[in-house]
Amino acid sequence: MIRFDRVGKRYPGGIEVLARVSLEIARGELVVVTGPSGAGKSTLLNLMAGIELPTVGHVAVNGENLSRMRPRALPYLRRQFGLVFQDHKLLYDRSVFDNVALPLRIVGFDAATIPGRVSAALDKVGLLDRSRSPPIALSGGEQQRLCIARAIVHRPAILLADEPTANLDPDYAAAIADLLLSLNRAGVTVVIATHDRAVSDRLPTRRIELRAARLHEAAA
Amino acid sequence: MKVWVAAHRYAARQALARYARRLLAASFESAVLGLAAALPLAFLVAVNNIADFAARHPATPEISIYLALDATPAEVKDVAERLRRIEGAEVRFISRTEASKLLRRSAALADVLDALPSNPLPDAFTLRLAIADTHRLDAFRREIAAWPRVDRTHVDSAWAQKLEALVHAGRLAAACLGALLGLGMLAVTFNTIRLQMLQRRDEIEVSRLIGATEAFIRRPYLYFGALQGFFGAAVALALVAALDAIASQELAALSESYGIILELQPLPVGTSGGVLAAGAALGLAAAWFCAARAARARGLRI
Ligand SMILES: Nc1ncnc2c1ncn2[C@@H]1O[C@H](COP(=O)(O)OP(=O)(O)O)[C@@H](O)[C@H]1O
Ligand SMILES: [Mg+2]
Repeated sequence: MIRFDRVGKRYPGGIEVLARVSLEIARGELVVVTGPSGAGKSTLLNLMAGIELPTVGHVAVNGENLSRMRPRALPYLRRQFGLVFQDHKLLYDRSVFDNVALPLRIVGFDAATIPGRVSAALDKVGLLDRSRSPPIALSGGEQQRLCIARAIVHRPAILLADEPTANLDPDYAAAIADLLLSLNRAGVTVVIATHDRAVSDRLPTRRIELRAARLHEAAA
Repeated sequence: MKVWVAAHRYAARQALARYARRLLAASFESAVLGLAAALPLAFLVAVNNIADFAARHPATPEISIYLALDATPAEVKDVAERLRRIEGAEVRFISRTEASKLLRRSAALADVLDALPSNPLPDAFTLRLAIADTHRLDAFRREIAAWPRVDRTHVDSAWAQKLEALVHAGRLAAACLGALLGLGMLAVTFNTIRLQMLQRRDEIEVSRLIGATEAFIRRPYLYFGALQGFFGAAVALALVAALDAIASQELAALSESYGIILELQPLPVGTSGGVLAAGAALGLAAAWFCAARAARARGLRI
């Protein structure tokens, strides 16, 4: 489903973040990417969603080379993904409901079906009773879960979660890990980037460690 | 199709909500646009009214009719009869002696006339008609020119032509002013939209990241621009209508004291509709330029 073919990434004027790494993620897999802060986990996820392009080599999603993709086709690629951003990227002047509804409006869902889908997504993350609140009124853990709700509301094939448990206390972190696991069991391909050992240890799955710009597969 | 309609409905609602959320500022912006647009519009109304007034109160252009020098008094009388039969005509006869007297008022010309063996001036009529249309007037003149003993005819419509030229120039000036201020309105709306996009850069960024097309991102701003242009045009029309009402009152008082009918014609409904459409189109264009620029500068340096 996602394929990295000797991908190198170097930001302008920066160091080499990835040094010709190859990687294959199959449909329905759950993959945890670990590594210390600054190792390039976010970069790896951004390369998957075409947010960044590789300096050398190529990334393919469903067989399509992202570097050769027309800019017009990019939004449609993005819709196959659910993205949980490290910095949340919530819209603080909109309600919880409107934040979650945004991907549905972008994709162009029938307005009549939107409330039901939003409610279902909010229910999955336990925020159904907060749908009228502004995100700012939510705790850190709740905001994190709101991000997940927004990422899954349009039923994407792939979920990319960047540090989904950052700054959360262990109970919350465990709950979110369980949520991601249940989504994966429901058929979603999930890639999680985390430097949180508690999370990676909790998920009995394929683990990739980023070290010195290279990938190291670790057995579950 | 359904997706398209839903997307447009969403964008329109967004634009309306944005307008409503900053109603005071947005109304102020519309008012500024309206004030700017009211200027050429008021000018246009004034020019239109001058043209209209001129048409209804023609400068009664005169047709001068010169008879043959050897026309007999009976023949002159005959022409006079025929002229008087024309409906609404105001006929004045200037006999050759009278004409000669008039010329003699100038000393230089008097000398010239004295030097001549006989009075070179023919009997003449002036005919005033309530016809403003120069073409119809000319047709009339040609008809009279064909009468027996009529030597030369001449329409003295210089005044009407001058006015016509003036009205034409006035309309041109209104158009130029309109174009200039339209450009200014374009710039104002462009700036408003630019600020809005700047304020909403986070939303734009996250929308792109989760799969929004440029069209989706652009759409609410297009609606907003069109809305603002439309309201601006509406303000301008309201201002012009108010000016019109005030001026009409003044004119009514004047009419009474002079016993003539002076009435201001408001902008025709079609023109008003056109102004509203033009306002909306202008706002739309400004938003379009702004969004296109923002899309080009991808990294959200808008
Ligand atoms: N947009 C960028 N421009 C320049 N350097 C960047 C950019 N994004 C990340 N980096 C650098 O790339 C390296 C890897 O960053 P990142 O992928 O965010 O790591 P991680 O998510 O593992 O903390 C870091 O040294 C970071 O400073
Ligand atoms: Mg990171």
